[in-house]
Amino acid sequence: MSLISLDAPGREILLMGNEAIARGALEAGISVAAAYPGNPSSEIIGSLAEVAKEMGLYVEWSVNEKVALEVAAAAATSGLNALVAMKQNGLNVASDFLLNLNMTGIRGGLVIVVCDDPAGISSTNEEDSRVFARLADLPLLEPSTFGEAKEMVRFAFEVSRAIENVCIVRSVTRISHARGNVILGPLPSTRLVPYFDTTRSFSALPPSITHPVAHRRLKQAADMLAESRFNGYSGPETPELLVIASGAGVLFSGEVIDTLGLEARVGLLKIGTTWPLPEKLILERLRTAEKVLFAEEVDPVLETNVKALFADNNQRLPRITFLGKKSGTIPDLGELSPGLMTRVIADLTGTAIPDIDADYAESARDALENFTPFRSLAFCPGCPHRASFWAIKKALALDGRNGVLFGDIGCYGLGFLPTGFRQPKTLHAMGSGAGMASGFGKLHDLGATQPALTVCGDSTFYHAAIPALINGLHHRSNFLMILLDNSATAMTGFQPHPGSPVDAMGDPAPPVLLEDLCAAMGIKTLIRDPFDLDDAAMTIFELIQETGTKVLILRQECALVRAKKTPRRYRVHVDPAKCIGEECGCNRFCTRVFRCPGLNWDVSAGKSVIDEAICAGCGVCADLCPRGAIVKESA
Amino acid sequence: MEKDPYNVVVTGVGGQGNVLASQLIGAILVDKGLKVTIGETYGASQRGGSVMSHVRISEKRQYGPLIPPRCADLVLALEPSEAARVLGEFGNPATISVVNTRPVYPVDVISGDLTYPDIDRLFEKIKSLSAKTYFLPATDRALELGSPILANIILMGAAAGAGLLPITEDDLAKAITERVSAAKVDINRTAFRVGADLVNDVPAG
Amino acid sequence: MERVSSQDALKRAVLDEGLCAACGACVGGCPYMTTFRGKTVVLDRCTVEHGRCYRYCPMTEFDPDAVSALVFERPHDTEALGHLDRVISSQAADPAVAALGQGGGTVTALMLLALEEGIIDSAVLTRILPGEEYARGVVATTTEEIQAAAGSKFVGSHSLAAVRQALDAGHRRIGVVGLPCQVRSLRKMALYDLKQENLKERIALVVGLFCNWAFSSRDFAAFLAPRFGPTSIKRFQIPPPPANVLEVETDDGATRVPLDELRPLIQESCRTCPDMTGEFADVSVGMYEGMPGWNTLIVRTSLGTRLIEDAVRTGRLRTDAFPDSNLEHLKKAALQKRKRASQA
Repeated sequence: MSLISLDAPGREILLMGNEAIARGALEAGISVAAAYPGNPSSEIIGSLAEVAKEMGLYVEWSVNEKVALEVAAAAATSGLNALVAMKQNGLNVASDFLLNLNMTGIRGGLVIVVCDDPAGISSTNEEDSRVFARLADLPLLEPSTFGEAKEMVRFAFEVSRAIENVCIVRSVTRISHARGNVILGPLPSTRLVPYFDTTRSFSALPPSITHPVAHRRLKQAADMLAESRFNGYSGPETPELLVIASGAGVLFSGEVIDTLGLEARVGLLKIGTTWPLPEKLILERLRTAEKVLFAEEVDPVLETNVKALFADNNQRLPRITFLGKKSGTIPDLGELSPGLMTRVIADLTGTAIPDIDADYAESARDALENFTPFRSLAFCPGCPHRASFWAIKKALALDGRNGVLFGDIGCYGLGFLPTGFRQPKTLHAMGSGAGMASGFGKLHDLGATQPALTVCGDSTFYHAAIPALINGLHHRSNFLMILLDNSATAMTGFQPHPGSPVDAMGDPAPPVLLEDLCAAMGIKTLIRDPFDLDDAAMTIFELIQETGTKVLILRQECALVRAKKTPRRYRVHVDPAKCIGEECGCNRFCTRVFRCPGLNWDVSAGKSVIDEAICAGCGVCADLCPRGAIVKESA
Repeated sequence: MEKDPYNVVVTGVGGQGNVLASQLIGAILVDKGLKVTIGETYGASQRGGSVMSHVRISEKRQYGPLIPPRCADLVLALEPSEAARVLGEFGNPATISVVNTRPVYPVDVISGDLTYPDIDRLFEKIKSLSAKTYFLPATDRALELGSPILANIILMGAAAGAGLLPITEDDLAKAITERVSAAKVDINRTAFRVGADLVNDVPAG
Repeated sequence: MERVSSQDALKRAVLDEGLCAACGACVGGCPYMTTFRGKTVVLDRCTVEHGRCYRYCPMTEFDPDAVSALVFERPHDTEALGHLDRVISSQAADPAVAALGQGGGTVTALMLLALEEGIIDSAVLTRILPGEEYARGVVATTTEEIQAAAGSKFVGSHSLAAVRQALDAGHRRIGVVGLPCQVRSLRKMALYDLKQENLKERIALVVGLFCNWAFSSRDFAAFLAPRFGPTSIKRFQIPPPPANVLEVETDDGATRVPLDELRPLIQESCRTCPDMTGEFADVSVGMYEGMPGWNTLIVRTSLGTRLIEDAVRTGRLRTDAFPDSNLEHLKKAALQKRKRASQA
């Protein structure tokens, strides 16, 4: 249940950062929102979709981020306010369009919220999207609290409408997926009517004309950003250390200055408008600075830009020591944290960190070392991907030619871990598995003997894998594409995709079926149930004996989706009389190799046991047990 | 709150419902006029990993989403080895712990690559790192109520019953109505009461 | 330090070296390995350090003295044909049974008798099941099932996997017909009996088949498929020298394939095998060169002696002397295989 449409101006409620962003967009009067799901950005469009009907919006889960931006641009060239949300990888996908859209501008308001994921908590990569702002000559804002996230989005629409170009808001995991107080503002009572003014055209061509326009618009934005309330300084007039911070760095630095009692010695310059910089404010602070520390996450964006500003003005400024990522004071990757900022600021100011009782510290270290077994990620109990990778593993073993499985992005990306029996050998971007398999499948002409396979989720297929499949088919590449169809965009929270019978707003939508698409391309396409392990394995084996491009759809609903709708399929238990545990002929086959979280090893009994609090009742393990000791009964 | 900020860590394993628990605690306390910041780890959280929510409660300001090392005041642990993990990094001699006693074995333990600590020694370790500890069979009681997921609300009820969180059963009912579903109010009320009763039955260690 | 499991060791010493005899001893009942289209396949890594797969494999360490002590209650006899009581010639008395086999139907007749007399309660035999391309082990408990498995297959068939099947089914006296490599594996099972399954008693009768080499069943199937189609083949025969051909009997009659064409299909393990006559069996049976319709029969153990005597007494088997000249010829052939193995 989303509270983002609560019409209660002045009320203070707890919202997730992404909900605060969505609320800001509502307060700014958006009409259209589009995205492809990707953590940590997914809840922005998710929560807007929930209130779309009530608020009179059009909200969609687009097929990919580039299309999402195009959908939003259509609204924004028709005078509306539109929001697009994506994670860092999504901005890469959308960037081709973005770096043309910035040249033409828009007529309404268009805000891109990009949620970066420092440390890659739910990503394959770590990337700093702020560099796109400079690349695209577009303004970029960085919130540091939930309330500010909401305010900034509202302001970003003002900027966008004023300069007739896109405005970017960059969030991070610790804002987007955190929660905090947000004071609700008023919601607009009027709606804009879309109209594409055909007396105007939006052509990026010729750059000799459009690029200067983009520069002019950015300059206009710079003035608005400099005037905004998102930048500010707190601290002594002449601090011995000036911390220049953005995003989460603002909160961590502020708290550390407070905790260490350094308010009179250390100043904090908060930058919310990262590009273009509020030059006047920064120069003012640099005039009285000796030592500057940059507190920002991932790349030294703020750091590099402030140093450039310093270079341009060095004749009017004192000598300053700059500390940050370049100096190695702050790591050039990952997240900031209160612990890290405490160490750095204490060190730079010669402050002692309050210490804890030595015995306690020793006991705590012992707890971490000896009482906290590492929890590696694993597919959920009952997850069809575990069964699918099992079938792939078996097929490749039977085949014996050392086949190569190219991986892709989704929950099944975890397949490279033991939970997926380490089957995929590559993991890059959406759709890249199919592209690489298409390429490897042509190497057979050059003497390669290993079969080529790729796995791809249903949502990823629509997003970016179709062109690669067409490429392989057209070029007579020898590979098998296995579509792990769990009927959901599971990794990000079960959003619908073009294969779903409903859209983001819950309206019926014509599903574009995987098998129909493949059939239309003329590709041999089979559908199997991954829970029927032997059938799935033998089908994969047979398909990789054939030449050409083939598709196998392994279809079984996501265990989490299934659990919400239907009771367990089976009640599963272990018959201790039959379980031979660690003996030759078993060697804990089910727990040691299959590794489902619902299946435990009872150390004292030397037998397997089902954990009823965890088991999802898929029954697959019962089919694997070499002694028939795991019993499944229809529930 | 006696301490400002009052730092609560809700911890467990992906899928145990600790994100919802922290969200409900936060929503209730914001309604009471407090500033609350909750830092969470998502993404992989459904997939068997350790999950932690940092709940920071203050009358004065909006704190950052992460609790500094050794600064937890209260640990609500849905899983015992996760309690040890949190205490190891965020515990201090004044930390109070409310701990569900039922282990969730990591897949590497299930597979035999790692071993789960001896349960009695683990409980001793948790106790030794806490000023006061409440051990509760929350999952077992939740299973009796029909769903293991209710362990999170049982733990909340226990913390409230022990006077460690200023929340009431009615507060919870309101937050559930507003943020989850009115249909889920009764079962959550029951779970909250189970927790509050349990904490009075078990001696704090 | 990485611990070496039995499976690791087997993989290194046998499978990765291409020395698998396809006997089937390692795959029965093990979820980590299986047979697939004639090959032994490792599906997953097993960490057991004293597993049966390595211990029962005929291609790993073999202690002939210990096996001889177990089977013959004496040290290993290094004579060309191994320890034996006597060598005779034989044929099934029932012409229908004789016609089933490659030579004189002796093996089929003996297994039928053993089952009838209760010497065994089940027989593990090698058979190509209807509709299947590959020979495999079957557990036979009826006359019909034993007769259906008659005839030589000339391939590695993993048929010992069926021994595990028979044990799991609770059979207490299992008779097995196997190639020399399989005889060795069966005796290793009884000798080491890692799971204390009383295998010495339960593997009650071992009938060895003379064997100079066997084809890799996958390669053999691949050779035959385009020439004959998988299901039309009724029987294989290798007529005595100097024919040097394999006779393939199909619905359309017999076709002769020169053996030289087939030699590349021979299993690598056969080149290192020193045993032509199944030296550790209770009885061993082979062709009787120059006497179509008859077998050479080596009687080795007291059980073997009793079985043959019963077979003759009950009129199941006709026996005759085995001439010295033939015996010399047989010994020469056996020594030649030994020599080949020692040079491999």
